[in-house]
Amino acid sequence: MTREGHRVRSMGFRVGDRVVHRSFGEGLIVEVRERDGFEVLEIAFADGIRRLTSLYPLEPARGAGRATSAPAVSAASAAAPFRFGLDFPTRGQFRIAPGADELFQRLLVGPYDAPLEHEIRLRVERFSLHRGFDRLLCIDRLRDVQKYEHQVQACTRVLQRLRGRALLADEVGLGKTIEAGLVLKEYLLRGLVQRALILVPASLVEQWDQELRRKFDLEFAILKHGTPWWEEPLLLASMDTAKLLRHRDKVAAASFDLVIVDEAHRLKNQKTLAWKFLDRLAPRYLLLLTATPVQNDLHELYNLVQLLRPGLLGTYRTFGREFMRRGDRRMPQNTGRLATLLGETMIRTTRASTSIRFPKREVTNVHFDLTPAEREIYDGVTRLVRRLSHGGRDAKRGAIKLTLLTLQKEIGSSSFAAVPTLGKLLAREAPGPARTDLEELLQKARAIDVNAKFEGIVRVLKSSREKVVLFTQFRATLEFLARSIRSMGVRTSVFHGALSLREKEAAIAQFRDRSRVLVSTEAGGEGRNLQFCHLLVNYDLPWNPMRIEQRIGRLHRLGQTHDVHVLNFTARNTVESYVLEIVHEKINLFRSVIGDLDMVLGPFAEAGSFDDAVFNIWANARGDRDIEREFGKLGAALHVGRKRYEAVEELDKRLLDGVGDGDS
Amino acid sequence: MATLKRAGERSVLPELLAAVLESRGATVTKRGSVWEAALPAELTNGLGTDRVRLVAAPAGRAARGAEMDAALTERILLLGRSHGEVTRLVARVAWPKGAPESERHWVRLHWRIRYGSDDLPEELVAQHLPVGPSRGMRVPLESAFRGPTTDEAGALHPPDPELLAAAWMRALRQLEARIRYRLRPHEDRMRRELHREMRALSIHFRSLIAEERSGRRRRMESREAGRILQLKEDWERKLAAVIRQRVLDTEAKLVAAAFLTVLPEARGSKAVVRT
Repeated sequence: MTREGHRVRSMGFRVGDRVVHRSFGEGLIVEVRERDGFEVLEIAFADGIRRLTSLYPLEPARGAGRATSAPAVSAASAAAPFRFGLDFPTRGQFRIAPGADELFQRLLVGPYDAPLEHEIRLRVERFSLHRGFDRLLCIDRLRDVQKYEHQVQACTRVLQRLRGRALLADEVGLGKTIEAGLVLKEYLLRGLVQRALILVPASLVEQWDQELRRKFDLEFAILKHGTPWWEEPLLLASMDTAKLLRHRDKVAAASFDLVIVDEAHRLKNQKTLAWKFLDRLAPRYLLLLTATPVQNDLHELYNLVQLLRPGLLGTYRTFGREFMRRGDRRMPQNTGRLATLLGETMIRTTRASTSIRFPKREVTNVHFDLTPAEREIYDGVTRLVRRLSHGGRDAKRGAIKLTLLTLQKEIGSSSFAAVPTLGKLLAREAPGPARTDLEELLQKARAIDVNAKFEGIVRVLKSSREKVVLFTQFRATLEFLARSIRSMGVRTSVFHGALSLREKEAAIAQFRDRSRVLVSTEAGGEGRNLQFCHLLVNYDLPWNPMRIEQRIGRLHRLGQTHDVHVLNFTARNTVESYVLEIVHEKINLFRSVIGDLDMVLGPFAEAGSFDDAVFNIWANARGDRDIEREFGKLGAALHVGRKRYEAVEELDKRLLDGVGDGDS
Repeated sequence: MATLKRAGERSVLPELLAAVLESRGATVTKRGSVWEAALPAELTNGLGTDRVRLVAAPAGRAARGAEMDAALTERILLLGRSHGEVTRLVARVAWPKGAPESERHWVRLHWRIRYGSDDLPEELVAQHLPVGPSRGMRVPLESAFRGPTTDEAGALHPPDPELLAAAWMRALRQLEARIRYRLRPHEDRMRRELHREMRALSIHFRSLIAEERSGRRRRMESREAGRILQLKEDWERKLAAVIRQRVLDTEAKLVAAAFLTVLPEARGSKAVVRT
């Protein structure tokens, strides 16, 4: 072995090549790198990984390797007398199906077939290359997806019978997203779709992005102003952004082959901009996803079908005359014929029609009293927030409001979470009474080393041996929890947004295989498979119910086999306790799955607006009575939303269950 | 009626099915875009019906007519595949001036290749290879070949085993090269992806892994090092599994073969071209 200066002696080995070493046997090259002018190979042999230079005598293994690393046919085998047949030394790139030997013999001596037979055979072979949709190509290429029979059937039916234009109206929780993803992936694999657009509510953009990436291995670009998004073949956008004046022409000009619309009941009205926008897109394939296609009026269903199959249900007026009972917009008539027609464009799977067991959710609220020191800080922060948010510095109020809102949430989580924000506020506060208060609060917060709520965690961990997922919103709380639980000798994994993709995977794997507790922030957590765990603790509560629903959804989803137990930790007389009271105890929001929380939240569905409403109530209150009155109003609004949602669900059940039952 | 359109034109399913049935002895009549086949007893027993009506699917439908009985369609197609694997064809062409007027041979092999990756669709590859020296002559067009007449059949020479074996070898080499060419970008991409992941992992945790491997655990995170090493080895196993699977999955199947003989055109006659 000689060293040739600093020039690397490359022998052309690459990762993935299989080689044979005279002492260690056959191995797989797992890494190639340069060191001291030599190419160093890491090779996985049967007895472990070894590091060798490429100058070491290595031979490509039989049946493996690349064209450059070995002669195409070894001299010995080429010189061997060729016996008729397939004694061909292929090197593993392919195998030859049996029967070729026999055809070779027939070429030599016959018997020969008639030329017409031969031509017909070739024609049939060519024809059968046009692959039908009988076998789904995408099935084997999905990752981390538990496939259900009803989903595969729905996908096949969309591809075969409905020719890619369908209303997917499965009941909530049956995996409409997966069905749409299957159709999308199948079309992409077959080259029938080159450009695809997915339109979803703004609150679901991130969730869709992650699901597509993780489960279907699809990289969708997200429509953002200022980026050349129109050049992207796969685009994900919120409906509201896509239909903006500055975007809509470009979206229409991009001529997408497939468009998927989630929560498509928002297209119920023909006169809205969204409906007109989608009508203008006129894609070849269109999937509309909603569990509740009819909300108040059967004409809403007509409008949806009109996008998919114009004319299927006649004209607007004839539809009304034929299928709606006079004087009642919600009651159908001629239901048999309506169901037959809808079967041509709609798929609806009900929970009752599947054999899937849907586990229950058991939600328990655990209330704590803050320790005197914590209570003192909490009240101090509340007073500070109220004073600063009503301070005279109008120009800065907008900017400071966000900080104050965060601070109020942080102190609801733990004293540790509030320390950094208190420090930041202190740094920019001019000398005065507010600064003195801040200094005092910061000092007290730093002095606290245990939280009252943590006692609850200790009780949970001691009372059962189950795996537990602990959610918090803030990193400081997460670190406190991880540190404290580890000190109890309990194996703990952590999951937060600052981890790399690989570290996140490793954290989940570690939790599944070895740890008992996963402490997690919500960041990047959607779509990760945690069904093996059945106990969830909300150590702090996000103010927005949608966020809480997303947390629960990580455990309570299709594929979960056990009932899921949710523990909500809140301290008495805090913002969180009021929020919990209205969203859980009054409206019972989390005991069942709600398909479209936006519908329940109504005007508060916009990102941040529910948080703002809660903060405004809290910051503007002059006393406990104010707080109770205002939270009562908020609760009443949510109650109305919940009732509206239940009525719509009931109506759709009555109208649509059974559509498509007669079809294969 | 029996003649099919020439290769290159699009096959219509009913037309193809009608041709299959007719070649098996059915009587086929065509009216507009509807074919009707009255089946002989042998086919009646096999297909379970004595008449088959074949209707062209409306435009825009997929290649398999949705309105037809899918199972019957499959059975008829299977019938079309059950014969005609090997044939012998001749063509008479104008001979180059001064060239010896001895017959020349080619072999035409049709391989159906199913790749190990769904990124690459299945394909039907046709190879034309000279059997023995071609002496500069190219294989005539496919349309020039026909079945040998009775007189010709008696006079044609059988293939030379040695020369045919050599052609066979060349065919397999070509096939291997083609498959490798088609698979390489996909394999490279796969290798790159896996390699990148492994490299990131090993660079990031190089010192920890080294400590773990050498048995020196100086750091507190020694358990972490074990975990990372475990992860890395998992990736290595995955890489090996993926490559092994890819290697095994591609399959070439010889679906049809023809021995082609080219004869000098008889003086005063024109080349015979089937239409």
